[in-house]
Amino acid sequence: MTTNNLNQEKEQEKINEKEQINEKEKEQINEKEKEDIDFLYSQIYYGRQNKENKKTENKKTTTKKKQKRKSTDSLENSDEETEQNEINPSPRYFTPKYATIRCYKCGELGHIERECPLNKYSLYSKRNHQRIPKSQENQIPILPQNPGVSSLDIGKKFVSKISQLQKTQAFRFFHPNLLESTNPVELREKSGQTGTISRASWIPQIMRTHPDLLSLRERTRFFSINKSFSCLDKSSKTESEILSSKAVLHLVMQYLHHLGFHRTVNSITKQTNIKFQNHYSNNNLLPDLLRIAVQDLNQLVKMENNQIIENEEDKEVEFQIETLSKKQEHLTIWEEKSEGENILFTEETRSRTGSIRAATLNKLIENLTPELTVDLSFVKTFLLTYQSFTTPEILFQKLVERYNVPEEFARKKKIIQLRVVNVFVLWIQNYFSDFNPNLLHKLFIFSENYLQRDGYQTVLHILKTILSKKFQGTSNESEYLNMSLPEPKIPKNIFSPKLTLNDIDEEEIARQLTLYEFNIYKQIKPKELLNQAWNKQKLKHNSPNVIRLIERFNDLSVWIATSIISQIKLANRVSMIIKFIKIGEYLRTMNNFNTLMAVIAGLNSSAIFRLKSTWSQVPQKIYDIYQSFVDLMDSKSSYKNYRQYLKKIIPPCIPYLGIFLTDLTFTEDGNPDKIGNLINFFKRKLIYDVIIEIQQYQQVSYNFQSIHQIFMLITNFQDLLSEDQMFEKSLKIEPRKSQKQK
Amino acid sequence: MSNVSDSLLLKLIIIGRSMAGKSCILLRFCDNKFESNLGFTIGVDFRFVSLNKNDETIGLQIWDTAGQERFRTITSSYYRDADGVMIVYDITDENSFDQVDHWFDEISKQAPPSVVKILVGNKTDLENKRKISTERGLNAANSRSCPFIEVSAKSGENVKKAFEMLVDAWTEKSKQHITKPRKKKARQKITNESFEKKDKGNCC
Repeated sequence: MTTNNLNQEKEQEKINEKEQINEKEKEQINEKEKEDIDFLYSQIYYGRQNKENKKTENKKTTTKKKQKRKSTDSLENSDEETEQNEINPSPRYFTPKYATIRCYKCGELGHIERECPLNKYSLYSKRNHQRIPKSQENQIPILPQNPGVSSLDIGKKFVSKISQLQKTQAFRFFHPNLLESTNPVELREKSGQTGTISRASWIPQIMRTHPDLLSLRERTRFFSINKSFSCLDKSSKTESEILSSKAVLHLVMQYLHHLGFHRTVNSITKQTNIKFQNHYSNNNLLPDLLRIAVQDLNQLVKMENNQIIENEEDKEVEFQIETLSKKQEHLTIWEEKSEGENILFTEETRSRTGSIRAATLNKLIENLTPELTVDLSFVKTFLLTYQSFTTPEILFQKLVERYNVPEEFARKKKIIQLRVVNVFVLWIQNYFSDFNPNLLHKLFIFSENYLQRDGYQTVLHILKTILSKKFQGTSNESEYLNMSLPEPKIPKNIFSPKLTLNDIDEEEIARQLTLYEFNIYKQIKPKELLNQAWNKQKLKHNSPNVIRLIERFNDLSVWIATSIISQIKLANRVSMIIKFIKIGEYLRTMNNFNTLMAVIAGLNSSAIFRLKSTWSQVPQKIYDIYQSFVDLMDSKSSYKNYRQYLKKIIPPCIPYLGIFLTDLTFTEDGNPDKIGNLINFFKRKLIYDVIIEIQQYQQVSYNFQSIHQIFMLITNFQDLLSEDQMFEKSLKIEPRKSQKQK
Repeated sequence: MSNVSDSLLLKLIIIGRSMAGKSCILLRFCDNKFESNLGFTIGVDFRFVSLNKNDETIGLQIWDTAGQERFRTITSSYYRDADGVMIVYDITDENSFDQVDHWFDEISKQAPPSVVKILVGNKTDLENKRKISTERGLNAANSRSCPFIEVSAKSGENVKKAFEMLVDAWTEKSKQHITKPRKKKARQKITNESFEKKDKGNCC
């Protein structure tokens, strides 16, 4: 303990020194750069609450304190910092073969990343090398050794242990202190880094000393082979949900149930206390799982081999990109000529400040990080749409290229470098899901080596703060809790298993429908709307939420039609129609046009529409309401009525997605991707305008209380009829009158 | 627009597999600036076109499912008051041609019997990638006794002609049925009161 204290004191001194250095640096930075830093700061606390901005000053000091605390927490942290200092300045390594290639890691010309001398000093390899014996003692006994526990229990624990590790995996780059709490065996297996103690030699060593571990490992081999799905894409909430151990057990039970092993299912339920519910139609867990699996399979395979994932975009996009700018990729930003054919401005303003109509990728990057004033709307448009003409990997590479200002431009070096970091910050802030683990790794290398080397300590801290915030996934939802929630209208028989639609107030049904659909709508990402991905077989996996919303739309309208057609008595059918029209009316007042459209589609489907005697019993007043929906959502003049109505409403709102998709389709098809050899940026601006409108409505959430029983009733649809079946039933209920009268 | 107020107004819909080029045909037909580098901004009224035919102006209200193909449940209800349907397939895509039969079935189920159809093979500019021969297209159209044409939305070849053929087919059919051409005003009335009117009459 005494040594610990001593170390802590030493560390404190170090930190103080560092802070002093920081202060000095701060003074050196001239005014323009200060602006940039202020901007960066504002990005950390960027949020909907303006109050935050006022507090920025205070918070600056608090983050410092936090960082202090963090570093005093673990001894290793200080070790690491000294290690970093040892590494810098970066050593040189040169082969004539790679004379023109610039290394990502150290920024030197003359070698590729793989051969970079920095690899030898790679942060974790060294760290692991030093720490393994220490953590070996501390960590191993954590795993269960209790002989009385059933294998299933151990398996469960192991699964949860693994999933914990997977979660921490993503932190690996930015939370070095978290590494201490994880099992080094797993870490080393995954990171695949080579230290001085090789994996091959030290795993057997442990297995020899802990035979119980060996047997456990053999028994749970299935689970340990399962590599970290969840670390592939941290941004998507559904994945971690889907792959929780509970969900896997559900799948296992579903399969057993399917095979008819009901007793096994029951005994599993007894042992695990996880109840098995058989989801018939709507809960397509397995398809979801498969979709993710197919999407990530390549990545997994590549991770296994510890290769660099160059490009995990779809081939189609890849091809487009290839044809777009084959030349440009070989040409660095600094080599490309500054004027002339490489950039086109809009005709009205040919000046430097005019908006860009088309340009090469290099010129776009240059405009993203100009020496003069930044056009923020350009940056936003670029970051939202760049995946239609390039990949995150190439963008990253180009930004690093831009960061490495050649000596002849030394005068503007600092300002450009800060602009590049600004773009990184905006990119991480808004589109964190663009970063796969590999890119995060690169980002880490970049920030640790470059920013450190060039003395941007403050900027580095800001970048790290933002990243750690993103990893923690702080949500802004809490602010809605303060608002007063409308009293839910709960029917008396809410707990009855015989609860039906008729028991529930229309307004409450509309609320629950809205909650469910908004939850999907909210998750639609800009990437899903690029390149008409939702309509292309090859790119479909890029638009999971768009497709989910459409499927929901179809299911809902089929469900509405089924509910009406299943009523054999005419009076019941009439009351059902009235009920749905009333629900539609509430949906309109809630500005939920997507669900309203689904209700109209349900009522308008051919099986329902032809029920003349049923419709004739619907009171005129109610029918007029229905007619007003139809008029509002009329497709005439490209949904003129609806578009005008939408402009006037106050969010929250769920607009009808189909119209946006049509607009995007026409914009995509009506404008060329490139003008000559230049990327048509004007087209991206048009697409940006549509997507930003979709995003605009994602900002404000509905303030309703979810009620489980009703929620199940309107989401877990059972026995939906096909179109033909419905029409058949429709003919049975109200047979065609004889053709004579016609 | 004002000069078509008294003339004939037809409601047409364009259907076909996604990516068959439906929107391109419409873009080409509505606005010949398609080729210009500036490209499109979507106006509210651009799906309204007037055609001059035998000194008569015919307004075409075109509804296009582009981008919304996956919304299965809404597309069907739009057949209902259509006057003409254009079925588009891609001559370089076997799958899009396979769906043609499905579209014809759909129309016969959902659309009124007075509806006229035309089969259109798109992308003749990609002759070297052609998978569906002209004969196959023609046979499919003949078996359903509807006109057939191959177009290229990219070059603009035959696009206008395809719409003219559809209008011709409609005038032909309306003559046969000896129904007077509907005026725009009357037509609007029908849509507004479609329910009551149909209610008095028979089921579809």
